[in-house]
This record gives sequence, C-alpha cells and structure tokens, in this order.
Amino acid sequence: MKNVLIVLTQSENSSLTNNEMVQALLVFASFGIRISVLFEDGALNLLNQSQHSSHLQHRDAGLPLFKSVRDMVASFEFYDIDSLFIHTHQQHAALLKNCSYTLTPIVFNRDFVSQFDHVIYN
Amino acid sequence: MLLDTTSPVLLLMLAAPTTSLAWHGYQLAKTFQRQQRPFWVFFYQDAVLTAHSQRWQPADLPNLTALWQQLANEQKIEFPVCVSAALQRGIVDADNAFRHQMSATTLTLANGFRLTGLGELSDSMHHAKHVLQF
Repeated sequence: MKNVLIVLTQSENSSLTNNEMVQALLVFASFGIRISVLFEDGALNLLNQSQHSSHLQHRDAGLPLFKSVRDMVASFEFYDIDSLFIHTHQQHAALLKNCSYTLTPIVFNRDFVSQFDHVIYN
Repeated sequence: MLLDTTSPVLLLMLAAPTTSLAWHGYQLAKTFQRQQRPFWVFFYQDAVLTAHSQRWQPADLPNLTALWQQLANEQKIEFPVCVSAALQRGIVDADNAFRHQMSATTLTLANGFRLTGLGELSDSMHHAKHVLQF
C-alpha cells in the first residue's frame, strides 16, 4: 500500500483548487492509498470546528461559492484518514482553539518526509 | 533520493499553462521521452486548461498545448485530464456534452488529451515509483 502525504496550505473558500485537492485525497483513500494530511498556515482554518461550513455566498442565489472543504475534512474518519499533522511551531495557533481532531505536531524534516512514498503540496 | 530511471514517473500537472511551472513540467516530460524513460502524466486543477483547444497564443510565442499535443502524437497516447476539473473550466468532449446537455458545437477538448476520472490518477499513484508535481 502506498503511503502518501498531502500538505494543505489554503483556507476554506480560498479557491477551487483547494476543494479539488481534498476531493482527490478522498478518492485516493477510497482506492486503497494510505493518506496522511499535514495542515499548515491558512489550512489550519479547516480544523476550526466552531465556524459554519460555508461563508462566502452568492448574494442573490444564497448558494455557497464552493463546496465546503471543512465539511470534507470532517468526513476524513469515514475514509480511515486519521493521520493528521500540524507543525510543532503552529500547534498553539488561535485557529486551533476550537479543534477537537486528534492532531500530531511534527517537525517537517527528512525523517518525517522519508516515511512517505509521495508528497503532494497544495 | 536519486531518480530510479527504470520505473515509471508520474508527472502530476497542477499549474495553469500560463505559469512557468507548467513549462518545466513539459520540458521534463520531453526529456524523459528523449531518454526513453517511462513516464505518465495527469492534468488536474488549473493545469487542465492546457487541454483547452481554444487557448490562443501569440504567434511569436511557443504554444504549450500544441507542444503537449505533439508529444502525445509522438508517444501515440492521449494524456489524461480530470473530467470534473475540466468541465468546470469549460473543457468539454462529445460524451460529456451529451451527458450534461451542453451544446455539441462548443467541444473544447484539444486533440491528444482525453477526459477521465480521478480513479486513473489513483491507479498511477499506486504504480509510480516517483510523483513529481508541477
């Protein structure tokens, strides 16, 4: 089984590409690839469970601009994605104040990266 | 880590064709072809715009779409492009135009490319020795 690390850096509603990367990692997990996720910088926002799922909406239609990435993150457990990492230096970030996920603080170095077959950065 | 020259390399193209990164990806694919190294390519996110047949380029600049098409022709393959990412960016083939009730007069998938699902990317990830992201 391949072991793949996905590094997420973008916050909710930042762009379609953020949504697409999380959709892809869910597909990878469905196809038997072991997925780990490292949240950094703006992506810490995806772990803040006190915020509502969608914020930016079309003024007239009342529809969200993007499907919620935060909701997809909440579904990780159903795909057996339970290796969630954050950087040690960001573990006290305010965005994590209302986070109930089990996160593992790591130092991003050669030893950490070498446990994965592939690393994809978004 | 040194690149294993015998196992397939997956070139995961994510960058828009308007970026220099997209050119680096193409140049590496071309180098692999010259050196007869096995490689796969998958276009996802904004890189799917590379497969847009109506992308105009000034005549005095190289056309990245045309270069990928030439490479596909030489390799006798069609490069896979994520179907959902493509459709959201106006890249349509005949099958999807029919499926989504779009006008068949606006087919915009360039020759040398084909639309496919993310399952194919997963399969490539399974079998690739290396994944290089552009």
